[in-house]
Amino acid sequence: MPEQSNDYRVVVFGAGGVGKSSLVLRFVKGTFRESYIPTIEDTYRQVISCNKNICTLQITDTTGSHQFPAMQRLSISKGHAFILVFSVCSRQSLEELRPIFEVIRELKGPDLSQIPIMLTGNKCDESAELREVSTSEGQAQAAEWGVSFMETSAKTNHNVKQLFQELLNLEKSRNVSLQVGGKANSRVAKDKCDLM
Amino acid sequence: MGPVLLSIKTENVANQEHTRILLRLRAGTMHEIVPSSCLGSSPNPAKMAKLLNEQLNIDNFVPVLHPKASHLIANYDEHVLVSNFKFGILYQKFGQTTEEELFCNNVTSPAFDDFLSLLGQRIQLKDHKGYRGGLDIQNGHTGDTAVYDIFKEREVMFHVSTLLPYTENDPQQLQRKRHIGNDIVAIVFQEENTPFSPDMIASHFLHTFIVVQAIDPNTSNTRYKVSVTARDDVPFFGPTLPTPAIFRHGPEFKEFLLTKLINAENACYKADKFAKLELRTRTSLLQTLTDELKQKTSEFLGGSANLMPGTPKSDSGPGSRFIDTVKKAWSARVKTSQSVDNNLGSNGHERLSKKSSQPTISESTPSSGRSISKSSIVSTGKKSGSTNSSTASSPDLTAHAHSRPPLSEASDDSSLTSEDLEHLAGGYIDSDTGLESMSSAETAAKACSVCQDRPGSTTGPSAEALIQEVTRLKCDKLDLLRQNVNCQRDIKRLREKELGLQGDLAVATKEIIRLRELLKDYSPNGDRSPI
Repeated sequence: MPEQSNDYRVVVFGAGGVGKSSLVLRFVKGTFRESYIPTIEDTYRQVISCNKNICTLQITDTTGSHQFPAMQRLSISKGHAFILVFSVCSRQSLEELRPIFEVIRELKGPDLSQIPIMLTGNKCDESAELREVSTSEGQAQAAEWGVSFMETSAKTNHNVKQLFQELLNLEKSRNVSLQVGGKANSRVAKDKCDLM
Repeated sequence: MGPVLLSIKTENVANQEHTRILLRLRAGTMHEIVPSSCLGSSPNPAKMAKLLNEQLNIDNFVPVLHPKASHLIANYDEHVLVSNFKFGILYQKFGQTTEEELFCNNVTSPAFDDFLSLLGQRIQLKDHKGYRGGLDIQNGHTGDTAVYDIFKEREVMFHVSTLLPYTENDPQQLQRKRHIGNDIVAIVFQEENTPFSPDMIASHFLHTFIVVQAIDPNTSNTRYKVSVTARDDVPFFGPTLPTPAIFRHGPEFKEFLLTKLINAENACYKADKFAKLELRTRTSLLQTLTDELKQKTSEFLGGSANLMPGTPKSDSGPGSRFIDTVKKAWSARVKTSQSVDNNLGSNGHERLSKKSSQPTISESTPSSGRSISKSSIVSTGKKSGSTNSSTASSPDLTAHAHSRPPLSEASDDSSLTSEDLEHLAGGYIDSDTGLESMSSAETAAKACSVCQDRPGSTTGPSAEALIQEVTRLKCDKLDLLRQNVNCQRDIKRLREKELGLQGDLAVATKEIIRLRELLKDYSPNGDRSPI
């Protein structure tokens, strides 16, 4: 599908197996799939409101392997907002986000304050003994990069909608919101998305 | 058809002047070497493009002129180059049919270790400095060791399932699948013949599996039976399996297997899922590249203002003087002096050319022309220095067109040609005609004409048929020439190999003679032992 100028493009990055597809599927379809099927690239669309108008939220779920750097760079240059996902049970997955962040900084920066970026620690439902990255460590990393931070669980549906709503709230150049029709500038995430 | 970028270079092959042509479309890049005589007495970019792709009808190529142009174009050409590979290796025990069983195999076996030692070196990840294929070389999160090899100047990392961390209570073995499941090609190793099917493993990435079954492992007679299975839309890739497909344990098998693996991955890029993404990426990159080249060219030439039609040439100062020099230097069919400006001025024409009305370029918006001409006087003053020096120093002139959609549909056989070449290029690493040599970094074009050609209307109908015939013959000649060049290269390589082997033979013979002498000395009865 050709890109429209009123698309709002969110790109989800992260190492393999951290839960990118699960987060996106939970948000878009409300479902959770336990089995892990590595993604090449999937794109989903959803109607949202933008400056009191309708626009399309386009979510690109990318591959965790570093197979296609040119494609990755392309996604970054065309993207408006970014979700960097790691698993709180894998320290390596947090480290793997660093090169991706560097490319975002290279292509969009150096000043990233206008770009909504959310560092996301997924699988926060896992038991404490499996956890390798604490909440404060995640927050510290986000602070170091100058981005926002949130912990989520696609499995238990914890903070998933909030993740996307917060991300949209970070967008300063236009007023994008999951609420369609009705309240224009809702900062509090409701439990439902109004879909047209 | 989208943007078109053409690169040209003249070369001397077998004492005959040839022209190397690189035609870049969003569907792919085509590359041919044509004897220059093929191009007729007045070659121009339109003819060259048409040689490579008959469906192309472009008559307004715009030259690209910027010191960084070849660097940008080379980046584009090389964005597909892959020199690092990662392959998965799974261990399958007899009777196992689910991916959980495969990924959970935790105990290696001597036969498996023997096979792994054939493929490459067992390395310590924390000491590893080369390509890591997604494995952790700092904190041991992906195991301590891996199998790695440098094969024909390519780095190959193997994701061996039994070397990746095993997780209790995880039937999916995420720590293993997140590497192997993201590989495109994987080896499945068996010790006893047991069925394997690609749909045993759920992954959008894995497209090809090479099943290796050990026969008489860990003996002096160890052999491996090989079979290959891939998704339907993966095209054929060599080297062909022999009949029977059984190899002895040894370096020839390693050579065969690694070549097969690398060719498999390159073939998989043509499968639907990957090809679609590649097309999208390439389209976008080519569009960005051509836009950037146009913009940089017009900046370099002294501002787009000078090149707008409707601007009287006398106003424009040194910028248009440069154009005059260029015009004289290149043999161009300049119908009117105004038409030069038409073709070179790209920025202002963007809207027009996108609307695919070619002949109307000359009637571009006069209002915009006038308003910009004011600023042109200002800008030329600044740019005069650069434009004067650029005539001499311009190393690359690549013709470039913003083509309007032709009357015919985008050709499909062009994609075959490019596929063919890409297949050759990336696939058969035995021949060295890789994409590396196609990179336009080497094509410092010597000749490029500003094309004012207005063809089509001048040729009659009967001439068209002849022209087509001639083109067909040219293509045949092209093929033969290409084959010739390839054969010559092969001959050269084989000769070198022969020399090497002769040298080895000579050394061995000398050694035998020496040993025979020694034996004669040591055997008192004069016995000749049969060596």
